[in-house]
Amino acid sequence: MESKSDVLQGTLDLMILKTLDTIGAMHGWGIAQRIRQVSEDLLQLNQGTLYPALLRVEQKGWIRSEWKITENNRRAKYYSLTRDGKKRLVDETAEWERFAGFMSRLLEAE
Amino acid sequence: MTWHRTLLSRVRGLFASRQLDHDLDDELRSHIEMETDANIARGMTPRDARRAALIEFGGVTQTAEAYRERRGLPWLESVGQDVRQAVRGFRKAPAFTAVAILSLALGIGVNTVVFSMVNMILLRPLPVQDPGRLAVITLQQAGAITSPVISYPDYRDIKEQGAGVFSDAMAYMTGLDGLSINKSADRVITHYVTGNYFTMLGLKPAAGRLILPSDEGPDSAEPVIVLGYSYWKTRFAADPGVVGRSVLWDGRPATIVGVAPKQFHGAQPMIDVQSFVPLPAGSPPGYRTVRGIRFLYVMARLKPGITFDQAQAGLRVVGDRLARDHPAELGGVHLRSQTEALARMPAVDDGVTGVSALFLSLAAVVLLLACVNLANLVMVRAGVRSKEIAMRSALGGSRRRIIRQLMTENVILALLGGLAGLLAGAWASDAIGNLSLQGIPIFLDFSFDWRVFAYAFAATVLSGLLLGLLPSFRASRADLTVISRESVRFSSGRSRIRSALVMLQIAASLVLLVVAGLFWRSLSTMRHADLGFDPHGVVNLSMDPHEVGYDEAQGKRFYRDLLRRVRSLPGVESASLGCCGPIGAVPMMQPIQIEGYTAPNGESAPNVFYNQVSDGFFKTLRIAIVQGRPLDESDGPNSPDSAVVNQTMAKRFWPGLDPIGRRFEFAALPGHWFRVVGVSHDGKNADLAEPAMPYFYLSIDQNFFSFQTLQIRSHVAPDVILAEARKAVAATAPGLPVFGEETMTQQLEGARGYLSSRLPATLAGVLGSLGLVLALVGLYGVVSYNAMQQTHEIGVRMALGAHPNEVRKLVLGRGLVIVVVGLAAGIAASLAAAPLIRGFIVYGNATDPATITFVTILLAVVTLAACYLPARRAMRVDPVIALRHE
Repeated sequence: MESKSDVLQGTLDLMILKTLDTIGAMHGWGIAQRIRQVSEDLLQLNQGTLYPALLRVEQKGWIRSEWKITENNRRAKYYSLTRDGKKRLVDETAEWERFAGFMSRLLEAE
Repeated sequence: MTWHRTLLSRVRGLFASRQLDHDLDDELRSHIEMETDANIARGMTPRDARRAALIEFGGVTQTAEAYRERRGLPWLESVGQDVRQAVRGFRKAPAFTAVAILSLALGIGVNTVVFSMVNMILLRPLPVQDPGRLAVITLQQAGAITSPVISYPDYRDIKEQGAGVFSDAMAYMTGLDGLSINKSADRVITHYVTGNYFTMLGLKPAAGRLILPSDEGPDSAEPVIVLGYSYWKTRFAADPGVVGRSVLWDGRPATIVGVAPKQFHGAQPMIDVQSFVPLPAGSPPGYRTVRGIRFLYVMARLKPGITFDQAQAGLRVVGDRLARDHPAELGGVHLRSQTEALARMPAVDDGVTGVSALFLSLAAVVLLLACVNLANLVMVRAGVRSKEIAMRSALGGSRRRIIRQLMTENVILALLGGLAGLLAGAWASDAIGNLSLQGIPIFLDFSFDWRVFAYAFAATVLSGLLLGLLPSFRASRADLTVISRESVRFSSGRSRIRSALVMLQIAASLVLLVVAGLFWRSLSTMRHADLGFDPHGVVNLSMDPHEVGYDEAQGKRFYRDLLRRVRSLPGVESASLGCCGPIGAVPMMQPIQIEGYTAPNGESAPNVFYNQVSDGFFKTLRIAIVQGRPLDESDGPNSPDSAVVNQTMAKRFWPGLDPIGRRFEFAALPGHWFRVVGVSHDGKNADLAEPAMPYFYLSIDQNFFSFQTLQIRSHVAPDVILAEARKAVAATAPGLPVFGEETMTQQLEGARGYLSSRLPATLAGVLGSLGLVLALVGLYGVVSYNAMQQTHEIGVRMALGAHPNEVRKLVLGRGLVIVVVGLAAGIAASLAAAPLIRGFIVYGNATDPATITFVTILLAVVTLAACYLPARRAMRVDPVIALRHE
């Protein structure tokens, strides 16, 4: 069985920030669903790794969490961006674009 | 700046882990349920849907673990695990743990106490301004012992003529006085001081003012008093209003003008001075002019830029001039200046400095033993556990993690041992700090010394535990094959180290035991020595009527009345007075001139100890009169002054002649002759270690001395007779303080009696026993460990038909070699150390063969027993079991 690809730590953080920025407050399963949809199943994220990542980002103060009831009447922990998180998203996005640009130049070079 | 938020959240995670675990469970469960719901919506059966959800999630337990690791402080948590595991390990090996902690405690405790004592007595500077520039001046004359006290005119000359090297010089003496407020007199220990005492020391008052040069006045002046800080605090509750108050000082009106600073207890070490009074208080009549009256301790401050060598050179010039100008009193005089710290012990060459050095060395030996023992124990334990360690590393424990585990154990051990050492040291400090000396307030600032504790702690922990850690490093490297082999044997190299360590232990404890044995032997010889008097059935109590203002006539009347009252008490066989009863207060000493006797060339007038006693003294103490008669009622103020001399004095000054009727005088009081009326049997006077020396007795009816000890021989219980005597004193002189109430036997056990010998003997005995215990533990550990390691070998031998005796020889043989080599080294070391110990042994020989033989045999028997037990166990091994060990 092929193992699901590990995602770079920083990349996963950025994915969480961007997802929460786009769809607003969401629980872990919802975030996982959203990432899977957007990646069109290209990224086979091991859903378990999401939770330590969420904790890490929350510890850094970029997101906060609270328990809420879902539309299906389940208790779930909802995560949302903090002001620090929004700022961080802008910084991280710029950083990622620079890095991606460099990678593609590197790979396209002869 | 997010790290602190992270840390905060992690610390919270550490403490609220149960609540957070619960949260995490809920969160993950809701995730799985949502995924399951979604799968059902996609058309799966509920069972398949749940299964797919779990697969998609990829391991709930792993996620939770990763999450937890992220949440708390895993490093701290694993330290917690290490600690828990270490404690479990200690519980499984209680003997090892107890011995290791005990070794640490003894090593650290003993050293802390001994070093603190030395520090207190010798090293701590006087709490005055620039104490390193203070010089203590003493006087030496050919044929006489160094005199720490100097006459007033000599002091004036030193101060004036030594001005080239000393910026100032002050003088003081110590005495006891009565300080009465509201009619109740306190006995206070006083420094009678020159007016510049405080200014030269550079001290500031805690209240009021200190004594000034202008306070040193004529005899008629009303004295001013400066109180000692602790006396002010205990007696006057630190009331600043005490300044300016009028009190009665030895029955005369006086004024309290101030309080000395808190940290200052007087210029002498160890005595807590309670009052300071300017001269002429406390000084004998005629002190200003008579050079024979030596009573002042002199201290000078070096001029800036002058070294001690230069000061000594300057002082020699002064001394030579004094010797030339006053040949009668100061012929051949040599003045000596020493640093204050060096001068604390009167006889530096072989005095307390030497004793301190000796006990420092002994304590260091105990520390060495403790370290060696600990190293041995930890090594043995590491050896025993190498299998466990190899197993752990095989199961994936990282090397770092395993070493950390072993380190944790050692650190815990060190901390527990340090704590126990701290308790032991503090307890002993307390016990020693509470010593008092016959009612004199002794200042023992025995504050626990943290630097010393740190030193001993570091020495033990570093040497013991780090040495012990070496095998851990090696063990942690052990590979799996170790487990498959039957036993993990020490390499022979390491076993040799351990054998050497045990030899060292045996040798060191032999030295300690020899020293202890020598002290005990000396003490027991001293106990059987002839005292010259009979201490049984005698009680003492002391008083000084000048403390309530009695003059000589009043004092004589008081003592006469008191003796009459006490002698009429029921059960009293005999009662008398003596100022410096045997082994009590320090006897007085004066240079004397003897009619018809010339001192050998170059020697000054002989300095002789004497006592001033009432009639009945010889009867009360049962001191035999070998010739002539004792002092009695006939030696009153109207008859010529009589003296009783001891046998040594008679033999020294009138060899081959009849001493009765011979005369002598005090060098300081020429023309006042004492006529010998009797010769007493030699005995102990100042202390029990003294050799036989000249001594004489004068009658207090002819030569009055205010301080007296009442001595009563009776067959009534001591408590009862002392209570009766106290009542008699109170009835004769109301308000007169009484002190030093004890039986003669108790006094003999005191500071001037056996205590001074018993203390070193006890200390040496304790150190020796500690050494023995530590060596035994070490030896037993090594031998039994070797035997255990050999179980397999023994099994094979026995299966092949070896006789148990041969096995016994095998096991015992190795121990025997260690013991014999250790003992031989110990004997050699004791003989080598003998010259260092010689000075401290009052009776006996530092290389006393009986003591060395006895200690060697004792040690041999005990250590061989420690070898024999494991050997016997090894012998009983069932070959089948030993082989199955494989």
